[in-house]
Amino acid sequence: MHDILEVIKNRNGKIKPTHILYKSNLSYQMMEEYLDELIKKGFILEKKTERSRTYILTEKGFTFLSKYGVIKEFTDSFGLE
Amino acid sequence: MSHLFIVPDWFFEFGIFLEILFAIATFIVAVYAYKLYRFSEQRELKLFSASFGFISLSYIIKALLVLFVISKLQGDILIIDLNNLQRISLYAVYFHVVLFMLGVVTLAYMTLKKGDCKIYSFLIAISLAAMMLGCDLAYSFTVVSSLILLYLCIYYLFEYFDNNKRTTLIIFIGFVFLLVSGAGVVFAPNYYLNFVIGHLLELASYILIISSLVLTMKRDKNGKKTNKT
Repeated sequence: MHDILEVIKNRNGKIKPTHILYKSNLSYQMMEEYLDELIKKGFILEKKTERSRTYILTEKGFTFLSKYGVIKEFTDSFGLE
Repeated sequence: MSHLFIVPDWFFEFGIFLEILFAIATFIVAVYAYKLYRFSEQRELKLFSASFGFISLSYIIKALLVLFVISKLQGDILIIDLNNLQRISLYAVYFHVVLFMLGVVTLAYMTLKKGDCKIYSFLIAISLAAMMLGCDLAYSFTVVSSLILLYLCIYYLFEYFDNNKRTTLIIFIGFVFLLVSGAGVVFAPNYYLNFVIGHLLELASYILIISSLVLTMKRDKNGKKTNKT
């Protein structure tokens, strides 16, 4: 999930599903599952138009990315992963 | 069967101070874990925070219980009988053991990495039943909590073998101290020295856990992990 958020961040906070698929090397179904979870947790927003979908990184998503190092360190050290 | 702990007068006030210190240490861990949970929405962080929150609350209640005892008893040697419910607050004793048990059970449940409330409820029910239905609450509580702490020690030992992180090793040693501090009480209840040593081992345990927390907070700004042993 962190990798997906990084990909979105590197595309100026907005991305289409095909770009995520290309960058993340996931199957379509797995990607959809991860995206659903990211939406549920409030890290990204889904914007649907007639032609396509776009995923936008939220402020919470940006904060998660900035704190990711500390979170990872804590979860690894305390056996939470 | 009654269970007696002989507490020397010289240690009593220091013991209260230590209980409050344990409450603060576990509260800090709980709050920090909850803060990280708010950033990450990771279930394990929520459970970890809750477990240390329960343990912190148990120490607060234990400290209040001890203060209550001081106000009620006199003499150079203060004797606390956990099974004599008329001399000390029944509810405070039960709250302390139940909350501490909830804390360690929640921690053990978190390590299972299963999002199943039924398993959690079952673990709590089994642990509390084993504790409450024993002849001696002090022994039952110590035995059950020690078994869970033993499981946690083994878990963190294997975590250390997997990730080879210094902080995980420190946490493992901390939980070993916590295990020994309680277990020692079971084997020598009439020796006040074990009561004192038990508290000092608990102090060492929480110092180690807080040290691990501080080390994880001091993450390299460049993103490099400098934490390997």
